[in-house]
This record gives sequence, structure tokens and C-alpha cells, in this order.
Amino acid sequence: MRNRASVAPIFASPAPPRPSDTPSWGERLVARLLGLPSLEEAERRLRSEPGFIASLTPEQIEAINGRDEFEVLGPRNGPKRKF
Amino acid sequence: MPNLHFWRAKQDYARRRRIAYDTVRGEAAQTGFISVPLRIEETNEHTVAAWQATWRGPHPSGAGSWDWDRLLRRAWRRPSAFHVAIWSGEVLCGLGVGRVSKRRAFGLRHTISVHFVESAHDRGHPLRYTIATLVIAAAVAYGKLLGATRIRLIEPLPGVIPLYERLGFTVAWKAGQPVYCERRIKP
Repeated sequence: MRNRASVAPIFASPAPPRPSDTPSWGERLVARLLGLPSLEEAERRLRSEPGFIASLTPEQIEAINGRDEFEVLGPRNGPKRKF
Repeated sequence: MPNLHFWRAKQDYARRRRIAYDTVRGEAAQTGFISVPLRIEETNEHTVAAWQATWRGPHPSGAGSWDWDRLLRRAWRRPSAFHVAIWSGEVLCGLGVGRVSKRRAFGLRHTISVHFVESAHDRGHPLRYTIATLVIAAAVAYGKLLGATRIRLIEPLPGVIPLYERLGFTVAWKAGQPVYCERRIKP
């Protein structure tokens, strides 16, 4: 019989990849019939419209400048680095 | 037998991330927001190695110091995950990771959420004070390509809530603590 130590690495190994979740052929067809944008259309819109950075005013950029705490996001109990 | 469907999904989402990140890099240069060399890329083993080798000591804010090895490896298991590395030349200046909501009808995702962001710990890195903006911009662009209509920043630090509000985010509170900040994405 195997002891606990011999089975522990199995549980410690990374979980298998999650199954893919891309739209199915049928969903893509229905999306096209409904006139929803394709990747090419979405890409064209993305490149032609102002993005998040372009939407910022000089005052907003000035407010961000010098704020180290704005450069960090995450829960208080998030995984910390161990040295 | 290799999981072909999983591999195809990884390729598809990687392509979308590349398009999104290239667009943000161009926008950052065109608007003058960034005037030093800038690369915005997906994360990979090289990113983890650079993080381990160069991010030492506490973050200037006193927060963060996330275990990016663990966070990124978890993100890589999900093809649609949002993960980004921001470089200036060979200097790793910032990291971000998040996810998109479950796929709705016709493949659309309604929300992209950013869970972790951190800039390099070196106070002299070339992109200081621009990392969060670049990560948010990358997430917005990637979300747009997936049909998302809102971005959420999960568990922001309470001290910078007024700043997020100033950038157009609304804050959701629970028991006196900020749960997330949210902003609409124009489809």
C-alpha cells in the first residue's frame, strides 16, 4: 500500500488544461446570420476607434503620475512571492 | 493523442491578444503616452525567468509582490485568459493577468476582468507610472475583440479608489471594502 508521501506529488502537479471554449461552427454561423462582427470586423473597429489611452485627458494622466499604489492590483490575500 | 481543439483555441486567442497588444502599443506611441521603447506581449517561460531574475525586494507601494510564476501558469491553462507582459527593451516593467467571463450565445463574452497587476520593483524602470494604464488598455482592447462590454478591476487597493473613479470607473462595495471597479467598453 502506498503511503501519503508517495501520492502527494500527484496532487501537487498542475491540473490538466481546461477544455477549449471557442465558438462552435454552428454558433459562428448564427452569429454571422445575426450580423455580429467577425474577428476581422472587430479588429478593424479596434484600430479605427480611440482606445483607453487616447480617451485619457492630460489631467487624468497627471493624476496617475507619481502614484506607485496605482501600479498594483490584487486581493490582500493574493499569492505572495516566497524568497 | 494531442487535444486538437484545445490547441486551436490557444492559437485563436493568442492571435486576438497579439492584435490587441499591437494596437495598444501603436496607440501609446502615437499619443505620446510612451516615449521609450515599448513591447506589449503575451507572457511565457521567458517572462517568468525575467521576473524571477530581476524583480527583487518589496514593491515601492508596499503592496503586491505577487507570485507571478503561480499566477501565470494558472492563466496559461485557459486559452482565453488575459495575460500580458510589458517590456522596455529587455527590461520587464510590468505584468497583468485576468480572465474573461464565460462564453455566451454566439461566442460573446460580456466582461473582461483584471485580477492582478504589478510594475517592476526597481524605482528607475523606464515605464514607471504607466504600467496600470497600459494593462487596462490592453485588457480593454482584448475585451473588444471578444465582444466584451465592460472591464472590471478586481479588488483594487482602497487608497486609489478616487483615482479609478476619476478615470471613469464605478466602484462596487461590500462590507466597506471595494470588490471591483467597472467601466463600460464601447462595443
